[in-house]
Amino acid sequence: MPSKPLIMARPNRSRRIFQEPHLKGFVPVGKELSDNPPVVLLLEEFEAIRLCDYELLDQTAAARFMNISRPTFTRIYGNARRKIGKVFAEAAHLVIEGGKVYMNAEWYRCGKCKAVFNQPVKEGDLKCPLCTSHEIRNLSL
Amino acid sequence: MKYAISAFEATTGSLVNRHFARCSFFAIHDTEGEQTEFIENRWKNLVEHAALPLVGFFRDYGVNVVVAGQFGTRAKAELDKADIQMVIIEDPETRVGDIIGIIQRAHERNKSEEQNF
Repeated sequence: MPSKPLIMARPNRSRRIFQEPHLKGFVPVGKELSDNPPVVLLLEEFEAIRLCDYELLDQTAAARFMNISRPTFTRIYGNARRKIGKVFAEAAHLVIEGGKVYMNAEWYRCGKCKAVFNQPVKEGDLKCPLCTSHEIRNLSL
Repeated sequence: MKYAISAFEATTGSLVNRHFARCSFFAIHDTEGEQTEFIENRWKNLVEHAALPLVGFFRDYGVNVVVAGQFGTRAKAELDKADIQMVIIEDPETRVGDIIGIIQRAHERNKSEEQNF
């Protein structure tokens, strides 16, 4: 009997995000941490919520920003809403990590004054625009 | 270098505002004249696209760097077009005076290094 041809699913396209969130997750107030595994919100799901529910972009504009199709955006957004619903209803704790994303622009953090900044003009040496320190870490890598 | 720092009030004791386009005031600090002035954000109550006229104003005013707690997607696109650098301050307890202090100390240090060189 001839073996079935191996059909590989198309790998997901990377989703563009503005920058990494400033936090790693959320813990419910008034409830001790249980041993249940946390709900994991992927970085692209966090970005979908941020664009639609915080910046109030419509789904077409948000999909364009993330460089994905509108149906894909709707799917990611739906997953994000379901996960947040689960966190609220079950008082679970939430971790924001993982996913397949790339940054919209290169962002850097100054090791000295902790400012996060971009570098619109690529020429010239890379230094902190506030304290001029060269102790810089690229956050996009 | 000209810096625009988003603020709640027109004083250096004000906290840095979390929202770039919707803040009430901007502290404009110029390292050349070593002076700070406060300007009101006239566009903060626009229903949408408040960043568009604001970034145009900063470009004409010669601002090189803007400092805020966060920037919206539209604001970032406009600032990129105008080649204005963005600085995000993550600590919500940071005051406008703290930022001006960091800029002034760095500027004085660089000036004295240039003189010694």
